[in-house]
Amino acid sequence: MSDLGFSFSLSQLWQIAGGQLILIFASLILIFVDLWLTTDEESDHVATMGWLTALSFLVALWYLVHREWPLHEVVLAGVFSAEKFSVFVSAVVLLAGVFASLLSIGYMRNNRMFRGEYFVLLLFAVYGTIAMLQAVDLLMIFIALEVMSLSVYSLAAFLKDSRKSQEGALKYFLLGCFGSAFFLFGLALTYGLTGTVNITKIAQILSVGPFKHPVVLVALAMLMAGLFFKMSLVPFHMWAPDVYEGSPSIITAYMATAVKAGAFGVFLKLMSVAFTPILSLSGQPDFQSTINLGMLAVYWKPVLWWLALLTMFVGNLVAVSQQNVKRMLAYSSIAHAGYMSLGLLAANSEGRMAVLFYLVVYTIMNFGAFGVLFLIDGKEGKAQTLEDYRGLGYRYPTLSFLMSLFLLSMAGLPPTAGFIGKFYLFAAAIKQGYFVLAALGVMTCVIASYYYLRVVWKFYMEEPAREVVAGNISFVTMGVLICLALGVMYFGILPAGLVHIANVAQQSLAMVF
Amino acid sequence: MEGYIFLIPLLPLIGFLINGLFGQKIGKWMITYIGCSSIGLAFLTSVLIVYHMLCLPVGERQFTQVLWHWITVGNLHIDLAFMLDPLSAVMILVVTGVSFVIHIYSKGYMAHDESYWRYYAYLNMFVFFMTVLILGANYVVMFVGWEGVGLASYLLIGFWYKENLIADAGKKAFIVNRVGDFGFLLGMFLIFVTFGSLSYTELFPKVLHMYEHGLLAMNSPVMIAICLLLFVGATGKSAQIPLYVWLPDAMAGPTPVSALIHAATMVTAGVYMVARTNILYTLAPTALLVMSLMSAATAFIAATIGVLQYDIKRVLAYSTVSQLGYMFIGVSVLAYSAGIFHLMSHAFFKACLFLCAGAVMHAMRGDLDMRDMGGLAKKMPITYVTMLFASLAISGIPPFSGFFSKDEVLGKAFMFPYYPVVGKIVWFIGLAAAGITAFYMFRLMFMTFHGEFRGTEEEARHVHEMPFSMTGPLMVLAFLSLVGGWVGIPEVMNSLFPFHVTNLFENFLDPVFEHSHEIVAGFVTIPHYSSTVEWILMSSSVAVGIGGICLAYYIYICHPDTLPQKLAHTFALHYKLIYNKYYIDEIYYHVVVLPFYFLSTFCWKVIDAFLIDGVGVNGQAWWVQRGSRAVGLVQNGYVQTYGAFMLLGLVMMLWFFIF
Amino acid sequence: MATLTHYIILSSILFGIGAIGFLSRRNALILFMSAELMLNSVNLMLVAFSYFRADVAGQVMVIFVFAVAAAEVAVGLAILITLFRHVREVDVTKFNILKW
Repeated sequence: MSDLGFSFSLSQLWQIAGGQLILIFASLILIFVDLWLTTDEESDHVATMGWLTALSFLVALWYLVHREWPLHEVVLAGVFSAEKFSVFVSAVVLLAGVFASLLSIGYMRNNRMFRGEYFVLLLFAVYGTIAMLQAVDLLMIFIALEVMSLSVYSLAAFLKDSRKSQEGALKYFLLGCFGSAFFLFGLALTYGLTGTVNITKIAQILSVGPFKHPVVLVALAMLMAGLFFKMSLVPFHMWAPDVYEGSPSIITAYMATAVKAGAFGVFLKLMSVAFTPILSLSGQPDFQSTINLGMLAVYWKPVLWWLALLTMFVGNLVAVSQQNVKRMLAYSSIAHAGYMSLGLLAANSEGRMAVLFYLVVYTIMNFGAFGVLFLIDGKEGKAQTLEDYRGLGYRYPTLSFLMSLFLLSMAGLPPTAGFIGKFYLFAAAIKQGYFVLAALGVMTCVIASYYYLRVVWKFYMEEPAREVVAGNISFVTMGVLICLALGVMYFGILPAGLVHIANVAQQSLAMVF
Repeated sequence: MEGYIFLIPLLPLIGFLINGLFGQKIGKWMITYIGCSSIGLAFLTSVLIVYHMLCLPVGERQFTQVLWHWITVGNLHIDLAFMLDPLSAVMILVVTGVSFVIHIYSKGYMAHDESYWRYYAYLNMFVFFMTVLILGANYVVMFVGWEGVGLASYLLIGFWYKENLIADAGKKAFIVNRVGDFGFLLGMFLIFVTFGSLSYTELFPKVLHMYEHGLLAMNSPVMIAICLLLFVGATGKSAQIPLYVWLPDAMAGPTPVSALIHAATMVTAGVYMVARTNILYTLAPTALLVMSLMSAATAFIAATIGVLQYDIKRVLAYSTVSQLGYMFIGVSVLAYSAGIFHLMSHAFFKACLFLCAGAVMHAMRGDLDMRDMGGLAKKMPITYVTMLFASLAISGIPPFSGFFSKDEVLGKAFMFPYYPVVGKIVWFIGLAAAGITAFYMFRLMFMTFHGEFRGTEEEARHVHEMPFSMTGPLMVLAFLSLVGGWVGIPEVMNSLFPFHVTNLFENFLDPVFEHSHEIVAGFVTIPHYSSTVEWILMSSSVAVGIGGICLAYYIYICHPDTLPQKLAHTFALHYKLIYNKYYIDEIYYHVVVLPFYFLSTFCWKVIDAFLIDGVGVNGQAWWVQRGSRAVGLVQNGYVQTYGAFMLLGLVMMLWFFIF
Repeated sequence: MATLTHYIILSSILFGIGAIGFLSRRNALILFMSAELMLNSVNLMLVAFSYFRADVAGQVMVIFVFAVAAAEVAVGLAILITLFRHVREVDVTKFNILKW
């Protein structure tokens, strides 16, 4: 920001931020489509909007993969970058967007909730997340974070008739403001110290200057706290179960996956670039001094160690006593954030690769689980408890089978993708010497497998307690769920391709300047 | 030929998929056909590949088939690869063979079950995972199978889930197994951290190389830790102290399942794993010491508990625990091939025993209490004879298979090179347990098949011999219980035969274990015992076995509890005898029953029910539940509490950063 | 003469007041205001940095933060109103049907 003399051209803007622009245009167009589109059936209106949204995401995804991924010049005016890392995480977010928009068609039909602006908000949420991931400027990160959050707050409150939805959204909103204030405070201090908000310049200036100055540490703590809130690490996690339980199931799935992917992605990018010596790997003479930033590891690593441990324990432990499956999945998603922070903690190339891999896997299996959940639910909140799931294995064999598969994957049982993902995360932590943490983490997995399998148990090994009528299962919904199930199996059996891509992506972090 | 290894797991997988997805639609005949033929073909493939292996010179008997690269972490590459060497060859033959027989038996046994398709689907799934476990060429693939068989076992134990007790048994098995898996995972991670590889073909040569070049000391702490952690995994899967408690409860599942999973195959996975890891274990004598003592204790305690049970399947369950103890004695006294040998013969005779118990149960309409039985031999001659064969085998009576394998285990225990004194103690405990085994098995036989029928009239009318689809498998297994041991006739018995015999089994497995033998030979002098000692050991174990049978005969045939008083009056000459009976009963009661009673009640009630079940397994679950609620209370719904926790987190972080 | 340190301390104190207000008041609207106070304390700091560093970027950021804060209020009030229709209450301690 301090240097306003950047060269700027529209073609460069299109090249680097094209994915974002596509989403912005799409959302603006869709607002009008929503206004002017008249159909006989309300559900057709929603279906059209859903398909158009999914299409916009797919176009953006195509653009990201084909045009932005192979780019060499990756930075635009010191604000956005299109290095492979951001493109990878953005692709995950877009994928989550595709799943969310397609599943939402079925969700809205089942809930008789025909509102087109839902999809526009979803587009804005995805746009915000991608902008945040591509940003290399702290202020841009903050603004994009707010764009994402504000859209997600509104989506969380989308069930107007449900008090739970409103209450969850208000809690999310209040705590979100609180968390943003932390982040902003850290931003201001960083700016004050370095005179810049560009993360690579911050790294450069900090590493030659007094990087152990207490104010740097305060700024670091505040920035981390703000992001931990979005990542829902204990003790910044407490909004998550309430919001996840109250929100529409698809939005819950979106929050648990895409928002979290965005937060993890931006944490990795911001932390790695600005506060670790990763830029020194690039071989650029300008950034050789960043090797000094390794000294900061003694501060943030122990903190992350404890938070990872607490997150895994609290998430898994509290999930055990949950009777509501949606809330149980909320706690489990906290626990998964704990597993992923093992990879952040390792802070080596394996760790970053493992986090990226896990983000993909986690998105797939979580969307699967929530997708089945909303179908069994019928109308939001009608059949969400464990009691309702009793004996469904015979009434709805396909749904139960899919749910069991997704849950087994979350429990990390081979040969599903969840196993491979966890394996990489723990292997990365072990490689970096965190034996005790890895051992305790594996122990929490034992607890986790208990509550995941309890659901499977309810499906197949108990008699139905009451009549549960699943919602209408449309062709689209089933297609998405089957694709997700195939994904879980595919990445469990043949993960090598994705691992390779994730590895290329994580290497590009050293090239952000 | 090695290109076809993948077929062995693939065929059961196809069977599982067809039966699982379309089972409800394709009809019973088709389900049976697919279920059995997939396993039959897998067995055939195994036989052909092993035959091919036997044709090769000894040095080349190891096939690996890499399907694809599965996981890559830094310099660690894990392939989805299968390996067939003599050790896995033995296992794969036993597993596919016994599974095939049991699949056929199940046709008759489960004929009237409403979820017939589900049963065959699960059973095929089990075989798939078990073959993956055995054939896996690295620990991760083994772990895939290891978890998978656990899942299959959980589903099959709880097969008749409508009864609470059965459902609980399934959960118990799963939870206890997960505790064991935790150890296995940690052991695996520790191997990875220490040696940087999890593939057998890389890891073992590397360990050996490091040992030979002095980079790795004998009995180094890390090796002991690895071995003990893996052993914790084995105690879960293979039902050893302290994690054996799930196995007796697992008998709640259908009987063929007990025969296949909880007797013949899955529970022996731990033994296989230890034998597979033999080089690491050989380098950790302290771990072996702990294991040998624990497995001897398991063998003995489980056998004593078996004496007091009346439920046939529970007797067999405790007997399985006890026999698994023998296998672990074998592998922990460096006699890896003896352990595997006992595993094989046990698979035959224990599967046979369970299937016979299933036949009896069928005939008795689900009643398993042997106090209601008696005299069934006349009505079920084939079941009787086959079960007699298997009982003679488990009691260690020559020339049945159990004699050769058990004798080899005990003989090798006597000669434990690392700790000779401990070896002798283990041998003695094992010998005592062998006597008890013979006693309780023949108690079971006599109470069930001899004497008068003690059940109701209606039951008596219903008792009948089983159809051929059930007796056929019994006969096959009984035959194997007889001849299965002949492949491992010890060399010391050469003088008995007109031709030269060698221990074919040990020679066949030798390539897998030769490095371990070299390590032992280089570390300690292997004690040499004369053939006289071997003969004495052998005859003592036979004597103990026969003694146990005689005692059972004396108590349950000569003096059954129901002997009518009238008989005593009529035959005056027998007064003396009757007096003696009382006399011996008293002695029996005070000398044998009471101590046994106290011992087994102690083992059962205090160790099993209270300590292990209560404090250990259920205790953990209780603490998790309590902890869950306690931590959950913090989430009290007030937004300001949440904010306060966030601020607290931030303040603690700042505190840590600045001070 | 007020130095940069003074401004930092002042804005930190304002930030702290905001945080304490957020945690101690019961009215949801006052919670909003406290959060806004936290954001504005940061604005003060940004302006101070901008002034002492003679760098205009800090003041530009303040405008952005204003915009964000305004958007936040819009969304937040909307959510509060829909919730108010269910609860008829703005006391945050009444919003606790979601717990444990």
